[in-house]
Amino acid sequence: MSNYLKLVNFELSRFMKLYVVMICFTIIMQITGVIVKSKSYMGLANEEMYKNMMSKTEFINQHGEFSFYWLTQSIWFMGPIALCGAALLFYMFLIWYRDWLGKNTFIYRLLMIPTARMNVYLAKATTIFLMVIGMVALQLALFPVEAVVMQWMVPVDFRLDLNILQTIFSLNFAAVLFPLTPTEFFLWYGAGAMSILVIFTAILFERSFRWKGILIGVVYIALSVGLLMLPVLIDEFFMYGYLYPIELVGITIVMGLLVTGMSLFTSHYLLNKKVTV
Amino acid sequence: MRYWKLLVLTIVPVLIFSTFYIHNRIEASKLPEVVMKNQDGDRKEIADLQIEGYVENNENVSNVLIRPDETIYFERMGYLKKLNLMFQPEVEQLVKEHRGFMRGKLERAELFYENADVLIYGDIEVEYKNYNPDSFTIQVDVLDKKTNQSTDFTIPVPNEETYDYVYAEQVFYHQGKLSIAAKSYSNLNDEDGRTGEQLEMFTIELASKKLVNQETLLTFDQRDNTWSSPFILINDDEELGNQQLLVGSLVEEFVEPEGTNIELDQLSIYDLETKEMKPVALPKEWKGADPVYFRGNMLYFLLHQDGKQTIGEWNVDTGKQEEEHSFDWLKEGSSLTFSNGKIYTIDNPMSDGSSSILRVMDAQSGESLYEGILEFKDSAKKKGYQLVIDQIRVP
Repeated sequence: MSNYLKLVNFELSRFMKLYVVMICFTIIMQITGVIVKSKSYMGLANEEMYKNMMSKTEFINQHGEFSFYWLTQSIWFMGPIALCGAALLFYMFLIWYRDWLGKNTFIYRLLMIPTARMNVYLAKATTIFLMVIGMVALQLALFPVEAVVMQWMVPVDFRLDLNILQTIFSLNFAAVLFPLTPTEFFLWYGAGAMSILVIFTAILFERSFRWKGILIGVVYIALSVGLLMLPVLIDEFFMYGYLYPIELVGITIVMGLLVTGMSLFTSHYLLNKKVTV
Repeated sequence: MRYWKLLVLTIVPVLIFSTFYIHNRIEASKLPEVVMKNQDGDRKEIADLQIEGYVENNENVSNVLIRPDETIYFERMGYLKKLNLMFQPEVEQLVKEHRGFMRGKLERAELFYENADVLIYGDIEVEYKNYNPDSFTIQVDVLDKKTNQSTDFTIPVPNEETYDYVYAEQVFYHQGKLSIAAKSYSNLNDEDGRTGEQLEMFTIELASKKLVNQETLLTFDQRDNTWSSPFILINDDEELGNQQLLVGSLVEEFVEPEGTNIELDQLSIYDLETKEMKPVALPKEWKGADPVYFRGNMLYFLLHQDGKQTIGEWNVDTGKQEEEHSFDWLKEGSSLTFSNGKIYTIDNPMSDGSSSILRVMDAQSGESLYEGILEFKDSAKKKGYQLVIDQIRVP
């Protein structure tokens, strides 16, 4: 256990600098976004009201009140989210390949550590998982801060204050990133953890069998997705809604656990018997 | 601290997500409870009553389901509870009692018939070919409640090539026969955009599993700016064996600049036994009436006259309006529903600080059976809320 924790801390340290940059980038971009968007809205209001002699009510009727929605649809808000998402996705591969392809083939030392090789694998998976959760939590904590900045910038008469749930509902991808109940949190992020393990298994296939491994890896991912979707597909096309929603969720959870177990078992085998340095 | 990075990245997200969920809980608990207080009559009268609507204030709109002793907000519901939720209480009850039989059946109460001995399901299944509706099949499933055995069978819709689409609206059962009222569409690809739409009745003899009758009850004329839809009301009088249906067409016409004008057309009573159609002639001023209930020899309509809302009663035997009851107390916009010979009404909407009167009365005698008050609990604390009722349901 202590070896595993040491390895997780070690893996986190390796990416920490870049991760902190990502956090700062998100905060700066989004807060700047609130300021820029608020200023441009108020600028528009001033122009319409003083130059074009529009009344406040007319202006609001024509342009709408300023709300978080103005921000969430802009590059200031979506840009950092997309960039961090892409960076974490990229790092999911880099976390393995840097050890093989970097200087001094670091993987040689990692796999020679006197501990179960699975600890290296699980530590890498945990690192990715914690970093994703960390970024989502950052975004969740940023919402109220951005709301306060918005309240400083835009007078109350021009503002439509959304609470945190309404803010989340104004985002299209919200249901998955910010699950509304703890049960959904465990379901979605459990599925996320499973996906990390599936992709790691595919990477180990490639590391074990090189070119042939890429093909096996792709087939493995397809097989995992297929297994997970199987209950929904069978129910939809062959059983015509025979299962009640709660049963379908239950069976899908079992399939998810099966895919997770299969990935852990396969990775264990590949790491111990097949992987070459 | 050796593992500080790991600790920070674990503890901070856990704290943020926990705060988020606790905050959501607290926000949901601020939504006002709605209570029904007795004033007069037996509370049993409203035991099965369910009000669907939403509660809103300046900040929030929340869907709500109100039962006599509980207020259910979707925000407060856990994920698994939401998964089990069915919007029609009738279907929810059927699933509770006959979980196996209800599998794979559409969640529409209109497609089920139930009495003490049987539960029957009827539908028309549409099969697609190249994303176009291709064939239509009548599906019937009968559950014998005593033996808990079910029998299902299918019958192809005759002359299915003449239809572009067939949609089952409602099922009826009378003396061993199941009748499925369905809306059929032809010529959907007509160049002028006109469609031929009919209300068809398919009658199936359950013992022989055969289609014994098929007829067109109504034909809808769809013109520019006009849209017709069928309505069907069964005679809710059990002594008459649910044998008669009131059928007709609601013609919605878009007129500028007033907006939509709705009129009743082709109003008739159809007898499931004799297959006869008997036209009902209403007075001219009832053209815009909204048919709401049929029991015994009485038809009930919601009338909007001189800016007031009232209930009109029409006797089909005498062909005359009954003027026994006065519905003066009925406010414009009130929600109302009829069930088992009773009228349920609630003033709508209901604002914070005020209350709505909930009335139950006998449709035939006009006698008041129950009167209660609907209001927000702890009204003083919860300012600015309004309850808007979408519908009242009594299974």
